[in-house]
Amino acid sequence: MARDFGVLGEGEGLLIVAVEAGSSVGQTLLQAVIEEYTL
Amino acid sequence: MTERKVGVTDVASGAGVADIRTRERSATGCEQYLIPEIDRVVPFRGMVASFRMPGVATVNRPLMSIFNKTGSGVLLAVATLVGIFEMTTNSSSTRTLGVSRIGTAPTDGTLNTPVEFDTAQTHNANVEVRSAASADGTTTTLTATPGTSGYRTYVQKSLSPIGQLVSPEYPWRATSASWVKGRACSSWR
Repeated sequence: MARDFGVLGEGEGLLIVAVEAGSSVGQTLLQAVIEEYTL
Repeated sequence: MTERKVGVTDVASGAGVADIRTRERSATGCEQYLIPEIDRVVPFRGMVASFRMPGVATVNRPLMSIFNKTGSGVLLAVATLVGIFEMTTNSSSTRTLGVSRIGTAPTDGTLNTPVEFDTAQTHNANVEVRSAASADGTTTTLTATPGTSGYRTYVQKSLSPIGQLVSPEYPWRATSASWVKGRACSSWR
């Protein structure tokens, strides 16, 4: 879908949704690459 | 402008001594040199995938969440997100996927285990990835409330034979070697 969704601090997250109900005619795979780090 | 040199006493390293590294130059005396270091400490870097999630006719249906829970002690960078949508029947309906930032930890669904690039690393249990299938083709409900979409993408329509059109998958660049490190860059390029 895209690259670089920024930095998520504690208590923050990303949510991916199927916006329209039309997703009922298909199936979805989602995957991500994540990095957990401190500064 | 007059050059003003700063003198540094040459002392042995030891407890309580903050070293400034210099090297001797025959013509100009000593000059300071720096060792560039990564300003991130990265306990975990890896990838995570959902099971195959069948479609459900629900508006704003949560598919996957990636959440950094309070108490994790880490920052979380989501570097790459890949969505693949496959038609199971013909349809000309418009459909999109949306990505939003949320502030409440999702519940239910299935916890997906991130896989490390380096087996010496351990995933932080307070970073949770959940999705809406408990196994390939087995739907389960992921409970979460979306925020304002910051990113949306179309899913291709399929007007003729089933399964011939698959939404594009952006190329993976999931190699630790290509990861650009630094505070100003949350991803690789």
